[in-house]
Amino acid sequence: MSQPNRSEVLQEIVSTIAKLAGVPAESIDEGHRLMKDVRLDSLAIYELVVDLEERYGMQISNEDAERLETVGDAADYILRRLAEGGTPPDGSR
Amino acid sequence: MNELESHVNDLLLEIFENILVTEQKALRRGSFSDLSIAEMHTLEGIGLYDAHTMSETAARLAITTGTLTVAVDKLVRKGYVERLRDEADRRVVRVRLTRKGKIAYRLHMKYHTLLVERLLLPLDATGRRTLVETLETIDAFVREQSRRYNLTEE
Repeated sequence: MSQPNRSEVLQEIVSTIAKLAGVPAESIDEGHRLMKDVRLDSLAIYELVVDLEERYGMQISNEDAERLETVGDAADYILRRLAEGGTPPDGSR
Repeated sequence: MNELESHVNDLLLEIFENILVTEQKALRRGSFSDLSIAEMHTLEGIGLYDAHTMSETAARLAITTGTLTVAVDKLVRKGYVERLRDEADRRVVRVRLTRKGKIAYRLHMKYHTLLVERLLLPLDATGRRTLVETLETIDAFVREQSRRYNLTEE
């Protein structure tokens, strides 16, 4: 399986955040801040992290998770980790 | 005990008690109100990743496999833990956290992270080293006492 591109990762993250925040995916922009704009609380941030770990087959520390300020930061983080050697699992959740 | 010793003793007992009480209060108020602190510590023993065997997990928690079995039964019913058969040896049962268990674990770890950050923040490198050495001394003493009681019980 080839590495997903930024647009695919972003779409996956936006879709997950939309479900967690209970808002339409179209209302979420990559510049939106996870806590201040999308209004994810700590619980929702960790739900997002656990879902991304499972989706992309990687381990994400709480410290790394807390440094992700925007939706775009989350996409860039996932891409960076994948480039460092993370292997996306086959199939979806 | 002199005044200083008495003060140190009071502080140690208060810290120990307050950490446990605060952890329990945080759990009761939050999304995981059906978890006790003991159960949360069982989740910690199981760990975020990998599926360990029951005996490995019991050893990590310093409890018997019988005690762990009872705890895991409850956590499975509450949806925090799942059991799975070892791929290579079907007789071996492994345990791991569910999605819900992982989220509860992460929230709990945040409390500990905040606690440690608050403790370390005002200290310089020397202060931090002294703190770690002091805590290591206390830890070694308490472990030694615990070992003595275990030997007496055997």
